[in-house]
Amino acid sequence: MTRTAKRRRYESPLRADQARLTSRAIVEAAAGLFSAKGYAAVSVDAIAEAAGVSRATVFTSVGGKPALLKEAFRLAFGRAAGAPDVSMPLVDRPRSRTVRAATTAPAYLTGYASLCTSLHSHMARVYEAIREGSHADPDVHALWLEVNAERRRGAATIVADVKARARLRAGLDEETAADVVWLLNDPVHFHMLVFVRGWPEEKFEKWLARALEAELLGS
Amino acid sequence: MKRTPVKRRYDAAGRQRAAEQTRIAILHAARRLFLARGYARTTVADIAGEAEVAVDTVYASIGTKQALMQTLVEHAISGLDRAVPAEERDYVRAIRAEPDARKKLALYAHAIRQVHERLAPLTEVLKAAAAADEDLARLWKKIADRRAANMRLFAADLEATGQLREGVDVEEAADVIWATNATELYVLLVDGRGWSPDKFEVWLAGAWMRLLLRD
Repeated sequence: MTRTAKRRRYESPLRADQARLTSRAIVEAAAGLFSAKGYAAVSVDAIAEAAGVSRATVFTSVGGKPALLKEAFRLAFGRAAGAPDVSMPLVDRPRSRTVRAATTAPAYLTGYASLCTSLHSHMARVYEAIREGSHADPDVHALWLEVNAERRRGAATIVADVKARARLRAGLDEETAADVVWLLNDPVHFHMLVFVRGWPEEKFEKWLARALEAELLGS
Repeated sequence: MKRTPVKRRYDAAGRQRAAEQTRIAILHAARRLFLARGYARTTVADIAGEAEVAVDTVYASIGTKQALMQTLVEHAISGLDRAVPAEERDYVRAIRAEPDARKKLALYAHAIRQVHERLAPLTEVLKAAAAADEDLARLWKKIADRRAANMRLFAADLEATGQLREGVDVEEAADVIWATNATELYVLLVDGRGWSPDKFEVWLAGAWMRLLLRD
């Protein structure tokens, strides 16, 4: 431990910058390939080749395929949410604050549907790669559970915000409401309706806003 | 000479019954092993052993491992020991005969819930294997495409009631039902969030009514 810390001090800032650029290039390449081909069909070799580095460099600077997928997801999500710091919780980001400024529940849900649509448009393909990989790889399965749990926490926040602005549809309890928001904000809908069925994004956004409103407030 | 044809007819019927029983025993064995071990780790020899038949009998009776999986999926969809085309399924006939759109959706949500209950465990196995097996990936896509085509017919039937919400056309209704009746969503709510199949059915029927029909 002490030796590692000491050794780090001797590393030049230039070399650290170079290392960051290399791992960034690898994660960019991984995100591109996983988005295009899914998880199983992409090899570490293909990622190395697309990033212009050796296979060994991929492992030392980012890790194996599950780690590459996790970083690819963080990159796509961070970029979609418009925040340079990918660790910032979604609710604290500038676009979320704009959504939360809405005073009526329908306006809030319209803003939220718009936020979801732009997020999904950037990361739905990587998300589907995680879903696919989760069936066959334990590490990807763990990542899948993690991103789903994070989405579920976000869904509970949405329901609390809506409840602060309006009465929930008759007979709908908060837990069920959050499960339904969690189901509706799963990028799978964007994937199926926009990528597979060819809906324009604006049509999807309107549909999602209406679906959220119908489910939470009643039609 | 004269008695032979009579005896043959008798034997033929008996043999056909026995063959059908063997076929069903093989399929049950295949389902048990696929669910317990996954697709890749199950061999045709394992299935033959589990069903207590010869390996050749598995091939003669049903076919390859992929044919076994396909047959199991078809049976899970039909709910019977044979594949049934959509237009001949009981629930499809009941939906067509029902004049009210809300009742049509409730009937369909009930049918879909039963299909998901049978199909969901198999789907998980199939999707895990499809990532590394192109034939299975094609099989999965074929089933998804067929489902999409059937949804177009169902949506047209709904539209004929005149109860579709303003601004929702047949195409949109078909796409929305197709996207929301995917087995993956059932798995998310029932396995992931602990919903009972009943709760899922009631919610799905209600969600379709809220999304697609006039108030």
